[in-house]
Amino acid sequence: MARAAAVVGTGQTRYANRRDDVNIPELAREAASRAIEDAGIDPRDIEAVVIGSGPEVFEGVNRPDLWVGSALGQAGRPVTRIQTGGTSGAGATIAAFYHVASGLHDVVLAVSYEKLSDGIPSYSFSTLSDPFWDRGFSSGAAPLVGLQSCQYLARHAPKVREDHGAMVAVKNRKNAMRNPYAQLQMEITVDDVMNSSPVASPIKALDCCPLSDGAAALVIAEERRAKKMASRPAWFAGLGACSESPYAPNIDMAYPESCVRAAQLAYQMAWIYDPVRELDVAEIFEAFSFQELIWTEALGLCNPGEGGRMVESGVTAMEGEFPINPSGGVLSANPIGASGMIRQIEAAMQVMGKAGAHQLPGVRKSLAHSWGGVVQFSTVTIFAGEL
Amino acid sequence: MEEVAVVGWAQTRHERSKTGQTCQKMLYDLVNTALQSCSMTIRDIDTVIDAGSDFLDGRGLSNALNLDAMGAHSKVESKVAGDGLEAAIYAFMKVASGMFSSALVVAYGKSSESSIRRQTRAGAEPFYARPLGIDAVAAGALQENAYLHHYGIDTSAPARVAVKNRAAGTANPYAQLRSEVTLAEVLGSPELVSPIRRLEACPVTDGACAVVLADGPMSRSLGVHPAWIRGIGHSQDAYSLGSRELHKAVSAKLAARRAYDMASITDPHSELDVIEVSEFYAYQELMLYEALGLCAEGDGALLLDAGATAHDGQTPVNPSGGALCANPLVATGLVRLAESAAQVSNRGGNVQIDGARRALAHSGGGFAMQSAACVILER
Amino acid sequence: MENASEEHEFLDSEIRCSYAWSTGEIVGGFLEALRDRGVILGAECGGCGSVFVPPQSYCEQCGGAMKDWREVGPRGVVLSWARVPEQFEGAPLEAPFRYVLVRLAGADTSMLHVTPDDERVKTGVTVVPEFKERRTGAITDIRWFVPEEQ
Repeated sequence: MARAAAVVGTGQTRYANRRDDVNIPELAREAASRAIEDAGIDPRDIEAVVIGSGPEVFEGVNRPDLWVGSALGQAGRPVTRIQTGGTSGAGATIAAFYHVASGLHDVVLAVSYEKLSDGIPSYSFSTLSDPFWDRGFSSGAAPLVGLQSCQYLARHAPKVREDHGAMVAVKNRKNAMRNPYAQLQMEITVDDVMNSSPVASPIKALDCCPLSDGAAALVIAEERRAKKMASRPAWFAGLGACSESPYAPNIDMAYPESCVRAAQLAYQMAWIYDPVRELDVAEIFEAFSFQELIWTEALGLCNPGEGGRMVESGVTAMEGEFPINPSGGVLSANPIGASGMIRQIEAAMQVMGKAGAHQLPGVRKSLAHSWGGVVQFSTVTIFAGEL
Repeated sequence: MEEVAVVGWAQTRHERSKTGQTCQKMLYDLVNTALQSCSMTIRDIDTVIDAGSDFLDGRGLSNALNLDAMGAHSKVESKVAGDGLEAAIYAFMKVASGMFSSALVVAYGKSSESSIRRQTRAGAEPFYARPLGIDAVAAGALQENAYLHHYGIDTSAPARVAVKNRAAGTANPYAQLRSEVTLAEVLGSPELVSPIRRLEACPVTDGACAVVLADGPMSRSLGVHPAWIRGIGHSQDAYSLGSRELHKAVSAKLAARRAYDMASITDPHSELDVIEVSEFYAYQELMLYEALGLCAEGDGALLLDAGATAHDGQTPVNPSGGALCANPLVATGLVRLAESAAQVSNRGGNVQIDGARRALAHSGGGFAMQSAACVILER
Repeated sequence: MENASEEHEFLDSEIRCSYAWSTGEIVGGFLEALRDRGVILGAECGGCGSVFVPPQSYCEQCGGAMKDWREVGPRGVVLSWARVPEQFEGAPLEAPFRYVLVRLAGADTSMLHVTPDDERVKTGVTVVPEFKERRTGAITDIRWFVPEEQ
């Protein structure tokens, strides 16, 4: 069995539409410094760095790890970059975990960032599509997720309805008001969402995540050091990841195999048989409101077709039996390459008791999820307050 | 830490341009060959780590299009946006943790499909470097100049590296360039950016490499000679050319030292039987002799001229012909690992160094060898 | 195979994206000093005391934070050079020209820039910057470095 490892410190920047005050390495450094400080260690204790950020075309710098790595501490340490679209940040944490679990390193820093405002996101997104088949008509994430959401609603109608998506948006945007890092904090109604301008049916403006600049970081340590660094380390209890073939028509976007498998692997590793009972909270990557319904089902937190009921009944509200996205989720801030790591940080903080105003009581186990690509990459991370 | 070995590998016949073959087909055939080399099927592979470059592929999320061709569909997979040797190090970590029994590492680059110099130019940071148009060749040229000048090395020493490696490449069936060059030809070739001459620079290459790793029990059950991973080192120097000591391969020295410590090697020149380095420009091999501890600082050319790193020398370096004979960008470092594994398991064919038991594979990254990774294999 | 093409087919495709990278305060301050005052600034690291030119808010060697500005140069010594014989897209001036790493007086690091293709440009030579008349706040506000007249 692998060496035990835990998150012992986290750091985030305030997420904003534009962070004009810093350049890309400085943005990453801001989060890294906070994580190191939160862990209560000397920066020189960091033995290796793993960086996650979105496709290079977003910021327009090739091999950005070579540049950004130089802002994250003393020269000479190994720096590795993971780039897997929306799962980049989560993938970086996972790689950092293996740096420690393998026995090769004891204390590792994982940093993720995105600075969309430096480029032209709507154009950059289109370059993710295959030049042979899709790029000519590709136009960003919303149309793709619109297709996904249509598929999902059609499959489960009338049990799941369009206004269930709106309920997710209302819930998460309100949750964000207790998160000092969130970019969008709003108290809105279901009607507000349903009446907001159409983007890509059934997605409307208030169903969408914002474009964000931001960075996040965390420090992972092996067992002995972790126990010294944090009073309540967030132990890695379960990990799962899965990738699928890239072509949208081959993927069941309403119940993606990669998400189902990633969750199964994580539950297996964490000895979890009944996730919604054995976990206390989940942070899942809902770039668009309907995705929260879809991931809730694919993660096995409820049966297929029950996603609407979960949000409508209040189960997933901050005060509910199984809160989802108490941080406000991706709907409140989406620095793409960092968003997957932010979900992990939020889930870890819940276990560590460090989530401040949106801390839930008595959290012993939490789940963080991310997705990426053409709904083809999924990661699931489970943290536990005890080894 | 679990024991991990390289048990299988494959590389493409590296070529200037693999027309008539999409990237997917290249990878599909490659992975099948790698699996066959150790009698495994894709079902036996627990996890896939790939290396690719969006800029090289001209596509955001470059690996996403190739996942099924690589056999990564429905698998635990991730992509390292660096060299294939770094991907192999990540894969090592996963198997060493005990959580995976086997891993497939795939790295590829079809350099023919874009402009490499323009692509490396995009690696220059936007404020102080990009407006000056610096690219990998120009950065290498600045380093070579600094190195030759600092130690007073004769300027034709790198050309002698090129002669050695091009001669070695003639025996390598995978190499793109399989013809010798004379010293006069190298010295007479046009300067790309002084002092780097065309025949002292790696070619533009399409190619790929796949390597299979397995833990102790699986390695021993496969009926192959496992190439055990005994040492790993990885290091990244400062970014700006001006804040680095360019006349030394600083990151390679640090990476090698970490690998040596892990492998309990104290005298690499006598304890290593063969070395494969990623010498994108000929001068880099001289600097790497020094950084890898084969000789004192500044003595790289002396070591070369003494014949110590030739095929029949005490520590042959790049019997495959190295990057000067094939540079499938992104895969070059992983190719060094495959070549090293072939050496220690006596499957090196025409490039085999007799009796090789311990090998070191090196990869470099960034301008003027800013980063380096070293992996030590042992039979 | 029926319908398979006998020729090698290529799909030509280009990605052209423009960027406006925020500089941050320190890089911004350096570029403004070039533009507005025609002076070159460095930054002293609060950790190791090295003066970096051009400056960052962070130290690439020790990981510390920048402490103070330092005016450096204008004279400097060439630490390395490389001659570019052929024009290319994105070149800062017309080829042939030379890249140089110049250590300016007062700096602990050297700065990447360019010189004309002048035989006198060699390692160890003292050079001085020539500024453009019309400056925009870019590293290329320095047109190039030239050997100092003796």
